[in-house]
Amino acid sequence: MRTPLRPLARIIDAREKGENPDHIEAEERAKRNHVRQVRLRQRAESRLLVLGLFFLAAFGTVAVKMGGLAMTGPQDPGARQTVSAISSARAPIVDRNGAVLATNLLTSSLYAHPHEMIEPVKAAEGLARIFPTLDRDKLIADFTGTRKFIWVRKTVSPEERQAVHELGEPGLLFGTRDLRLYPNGALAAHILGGAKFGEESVHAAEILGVAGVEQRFNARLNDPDTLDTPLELSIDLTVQAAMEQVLGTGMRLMQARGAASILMDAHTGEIIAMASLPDFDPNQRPAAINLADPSESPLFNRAAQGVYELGSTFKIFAAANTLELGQGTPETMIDTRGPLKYGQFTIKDFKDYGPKLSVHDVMVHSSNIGTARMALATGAGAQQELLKKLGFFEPVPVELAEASLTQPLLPPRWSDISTMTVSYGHGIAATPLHLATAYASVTNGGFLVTPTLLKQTETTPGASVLRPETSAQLRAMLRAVVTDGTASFGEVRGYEVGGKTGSADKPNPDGGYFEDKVIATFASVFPSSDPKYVMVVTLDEPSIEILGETRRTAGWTAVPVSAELVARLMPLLGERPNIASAGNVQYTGAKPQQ
Amino acid sequence: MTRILLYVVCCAMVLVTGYWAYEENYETQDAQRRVETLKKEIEQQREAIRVLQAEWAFLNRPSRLRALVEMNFNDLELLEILPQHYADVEFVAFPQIEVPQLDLNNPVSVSEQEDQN
Repeated sequence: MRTPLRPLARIIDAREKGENPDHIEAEERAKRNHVRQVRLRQRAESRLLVLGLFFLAAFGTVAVKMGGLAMTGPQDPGARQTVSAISSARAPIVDRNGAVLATNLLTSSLYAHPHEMIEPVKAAEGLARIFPTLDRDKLIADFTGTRKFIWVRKTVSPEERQAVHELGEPGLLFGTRDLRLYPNGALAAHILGGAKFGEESVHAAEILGVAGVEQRFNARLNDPDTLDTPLELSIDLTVQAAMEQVLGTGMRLMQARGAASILMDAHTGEIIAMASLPDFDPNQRPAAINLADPSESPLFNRAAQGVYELGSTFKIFAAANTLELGQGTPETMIDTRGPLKYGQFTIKDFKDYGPKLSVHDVMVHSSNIGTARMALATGAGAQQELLKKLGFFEPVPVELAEASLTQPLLPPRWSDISTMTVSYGHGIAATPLHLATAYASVTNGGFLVTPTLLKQTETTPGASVLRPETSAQLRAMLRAVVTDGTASFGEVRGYEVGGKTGSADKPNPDGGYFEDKVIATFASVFPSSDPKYVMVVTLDEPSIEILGETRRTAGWTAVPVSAELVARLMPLLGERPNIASAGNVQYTGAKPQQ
Repeated sequence: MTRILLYVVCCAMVLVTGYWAYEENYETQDAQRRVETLKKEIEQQREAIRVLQAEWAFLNRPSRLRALVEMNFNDLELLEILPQHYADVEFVAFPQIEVPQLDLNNPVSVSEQEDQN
C-alpha cells in the first residue's frame, strides 16, 4: 500500500507539538528514494550479470576454438573439398618387372544438349560423318526432339574430338572419361579379363572389372588409398608373349581347336605365363554369348576354366602313393598282364608290355594296367587323400574370378573301377592349372604349392605332401619318360626336361567317348634334378600327319610344342642351359675374329 | 600523464597486432591459392606421366617390337634367344661396327603441358 508523503495523522501530531511538518514529508521522500535506489541497483546488478555471462560465453567460445586449434595438427582447408561420388580412377596392373599390362588413359566422352544447338541437323550429319557407326537419322531425331541430354559416344579419341570441335556446334559437349587401356592388346587377355563402365556421370565414369584379375581385384584397384600402387602380377610380359606366339604356331601346326599352357614356378606357385588360345582383345572385349559349348567362345580360359580328363599325366600320382606308402620302390615289379578285367570293365594297354614291368617302367611306357594295379593296391582312400591334398577336389585357388567357379568333375561313387580309371586320368576332370599345381607340389620336394598370379616377395613352403626322397624318385621317372619313353620329343638339351604325357579321348556329349578327338596334355618339370619350373601344355583335338599316319597322342602333338616352349622361354628367363648335362653343344655360328 | 602514455602504448599495440594479424591472414590465403595451383599442376603432371607410360607401353608392346625386328632384320639381324646361343665368353665374336651418332637436334616435346613459371 502506497504511503502518502504527508500522512495526516503524523502532520496533525507534529502541528500539535509545534514541529515542522515539512520534515515529515522529507523523511517520507527519503524513504521512498531509498526503496527506489535499492530496486535500481538490483536491476543494474542483474543486467551486469547477464552482460558478464554474455562476455564469458563469447570469450569462452573463442578460448575453446583457440584451444582446439592449438591442440589439433595443421590441416589444409583445401583438402576438405567434396569428393565426387563417382571416381574413375583405377590402379594400373603391371607384370613382375613393372611393364604396364593395364592402365587408365584420360579420354573424353561426347554428349549433346539439343536445346543449345544452333543447327541440329547439320550437327547430326557431321557426327555421322566422323563416327561411321552412328546412325544419322536417329541422331537427327534425337537432336530435334524434346530431350535435353543425349550421350553420343562414351569414349572419343583426341583426333575425333578435334573433328567434333571443328563442327563448331555449341550444343556438343565433352566430359572426361578414363579409358581402361591394355597396351599389349590380346596379350594375357584371359588373365586380365577386361573392364566396363559402371556408374556414369558427365564428369567421370566408374570402371569395373568384368573378368580375370580385373574382376577379382576390383575393390583393390578402385580403392582410393592404393591408387598409386600398381597391382603387381607374377606374369612376365616377355615370356607371356613368347608363349602365346609359340603356342599359337603349335596349335596351327597340330590343327588343334584350342590350346592352353601354363608356366609355373615350382616352389612359389607363381604363374610366370599362362595362355589360352583362341584369345581376344580386352580393349574390345567381345560380348559373352551363351553357347552350347562355352569353350567355343574366345572368352573361355582353357587353362583355368577348361575341365578336361587329363589322361596318363595322372599316373604319376598313383606311383607317388605306391612309393610314399612304402608298397614298393621304383624297381618293384608290377604285374602288367592284360587285358585287366574287373567285372564288366576291361583295361587295355596301348600295346603289350610283357608280363611285368618295374614301377619306373610302368611310368616310362605309360602302362594303364600297371598303374591300375598299383592304384588298387594302395586303395581308394589313399588315392582320394592324395588327390584331395593336391587340390583336385576344389576349384583352383588362383586369383581369377572365373577359376573359383570351376568345379573339377569327380566320380559320383568312388568304386574300385573309379580308383583304377582315375589312376590313369579318366573319370576325373580338372583344369590344366590344377595339373600344373599338383605337378609343382609333387616334384618340388613334396611341398604343397598354391598357384598365384600375384608377385610373391617371400614365400613360406607349404605343408609337406610327399617325402623329399619320393619326390626325387618321381622326378627320375619323369626324366626317364623324356629320355626313353613316350615324350622323347620333349628333350631340350641342357634343361633336363622331365614330364608325363596324357592323351584322353574327349567325352561325347551324347554319351561315351569320341574315337578321333583327344585332349593331348604334356606336364613337365625342369630341370628335373633341381626343379625350378613346371609347365603344362594342353591341345584340344590335335591331329597331324607324320610318317603317313594321323597322330593324335600327346607324344606327337603336345610334347614337341612343349619342347619348343622350353627352348624359347628358358633363355628369356635367364636360365642358362646346363652345358655339362647337354653333352655335345652347338655354339653360335659367329667365328671369333683374329 | 602516465595514464595517457599507457593509452597511447595500448592503442599502438592494438594497431600493430591488428596489422600483423591481417598480414598473416593474407599470406595464408596466398599460400593456399599457391597450394591449389601446385596441386592442379601435380595432377596434370601425373596425368601426363600416366599418358606417357601408357604410350611407352603401347610402343613397346611385344607384337610391335617383333614386327620392327622383322622389318629391320637386314640391319640388326636380331634373332630369338635359344639355348644354343649360350656359350662361354671367349667364343663370342664381338661385332666391329661403328655405331653412327644419332642426330638428336630439335627434340620435340611430346607432352602438351605448358611451362607455368
